[in-house]
Amino acid sequence: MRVQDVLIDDTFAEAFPMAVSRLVITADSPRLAFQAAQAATGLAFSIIGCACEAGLGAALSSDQTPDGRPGQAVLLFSYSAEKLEEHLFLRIGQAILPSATSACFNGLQAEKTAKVGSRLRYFGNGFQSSKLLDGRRYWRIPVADGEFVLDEMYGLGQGVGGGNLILLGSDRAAALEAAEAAVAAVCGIPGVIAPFPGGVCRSPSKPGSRYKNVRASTNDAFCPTLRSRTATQLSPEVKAVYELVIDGLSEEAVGQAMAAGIRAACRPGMLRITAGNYGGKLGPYHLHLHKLLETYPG
Amino acid sequence: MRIELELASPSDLQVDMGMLSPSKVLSLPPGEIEKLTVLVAGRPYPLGEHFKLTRSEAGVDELVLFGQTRRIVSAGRGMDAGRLVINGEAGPFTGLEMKGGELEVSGNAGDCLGVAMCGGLLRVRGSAGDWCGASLPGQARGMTGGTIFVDGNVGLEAGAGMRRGLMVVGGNSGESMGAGMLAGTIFCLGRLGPGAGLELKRGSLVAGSSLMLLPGFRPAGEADPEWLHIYLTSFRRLGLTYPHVWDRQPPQRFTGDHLVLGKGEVLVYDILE
Repeated sequence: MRVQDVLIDDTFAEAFPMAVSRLVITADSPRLAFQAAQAATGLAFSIIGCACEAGLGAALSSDQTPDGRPGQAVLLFSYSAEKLEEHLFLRIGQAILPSATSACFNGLQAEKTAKVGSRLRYFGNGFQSSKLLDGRRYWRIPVADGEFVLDEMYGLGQGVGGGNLILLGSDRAAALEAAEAAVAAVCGIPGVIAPFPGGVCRSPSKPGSRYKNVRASTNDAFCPTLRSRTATQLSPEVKAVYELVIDGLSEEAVGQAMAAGIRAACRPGMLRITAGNYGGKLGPYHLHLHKLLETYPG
Repeated sequence: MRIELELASPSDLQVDMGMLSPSKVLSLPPGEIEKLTVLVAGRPYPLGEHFKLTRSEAGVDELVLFGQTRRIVSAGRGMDAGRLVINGEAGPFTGLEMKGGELEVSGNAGDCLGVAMCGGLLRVRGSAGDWCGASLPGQARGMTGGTIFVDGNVGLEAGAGMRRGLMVVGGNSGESMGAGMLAGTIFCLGRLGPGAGLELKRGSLVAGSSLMLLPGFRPAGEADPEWLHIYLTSFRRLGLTYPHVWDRQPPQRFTGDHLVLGKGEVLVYDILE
């Protein structure tokens, strides 16, 4: 299949269930809310090294937040609910709490919950207090610009991680331009994130390594400088490859985002779009590129 | 289904309806409701002797009381579900020990509204008497949950001994609002009566205006209104109105009552001289 003369491989991205949480971060201004959200998603690019993948969701207007202030949604993913709970505690406590004027609310209703506010409250050293409204408990922790307000519990849902697109271009500038256009399209779909810096990954990995204790290594089949030394996936015209990793609240959201990403990436200088999988043996979600383009027509 | 009960017996005697929960009444077949017992001046009578019953189909299941409703005592006592509407004035002990459901009074309510309430929503369109949401005599704990909205004023010792829950008073409060509060949240959109927060241990009292507070309260500067905005946002979504200035201006905060535990707070938007 070709879209705008770009070859779309007849293959699929193999995605996995992941624990997911959604935060609603508010502050006195959209800028401050964005700043706090950005801090909360720091060093959360890849599950392999960070144990957490996180990204910014939509900017929220004051009528979409519990406290009537401007806000920013954040999605966080991890491989288990327990690990995600650890990250919520760490990121809310170390990144959001210190951010000026911030508050942090649960943005996902789920059966399973993580106790975060009820642990972080001890930072108040006995001066903390709580409020219970409509069955939801909020903690108030005194800080130097007033109070940090956060939810006691945060929903831990099941999302989908590992949706991906691999973009092969005729030169680095064209491939990067296509990748950035794809990220913009992906981020326009509600409930998904592209966790890598700027949403783009230049270091696609494969599991395992020739070195013991190294869990993942560079995906040599996609490295242009290794085309003479490995079983390369690259035709001679391909000069640069970028990957997009896409996590979402549902398989549908990830699929829709992938379709939007493919379409946006099909532009001059792009040669081929493919996706990474493990032969279908590991992940239960198989997102076939051709099917996605049929299911979600542009 | 909607069931209307009109209290129309020619007497001034109080009618205790504390044994009838709306969900129970609504679940009974025709003919059985009239056989239920009410206490008139403390003596049991079949409900049908004092009330005229009308049954109609409606979008929501509700029990409606009207007529001489001021004579009705303990309406909605211990109710845990369903919807009860009192079209008119409610007598004392309305919503006593209420656990859930929704109770609405279109007029004023008597003393002891929502005493020892632990859940549900109680809304009074008029004013309420003394000891609204307070504790039963001899007990330390008042409301332990639920929400009371009173559009008008409340009498003395509203929310006394409150342990948890929310009370919103649209008008002014009588003396000693929130006396002995253990926790919970009270909003008095109008003027706070004297002696408010006496022996307040924890919890929050928020008021539009107040005279100088009791000596057990210490000024703590401007409050951070962040948690208040969560409540005000919730009020807006419920269609409750409050002074617009509350959205812009933080209230003054007083902590106390330092004669007891001192972990409570009184927030006042306008301190009167």
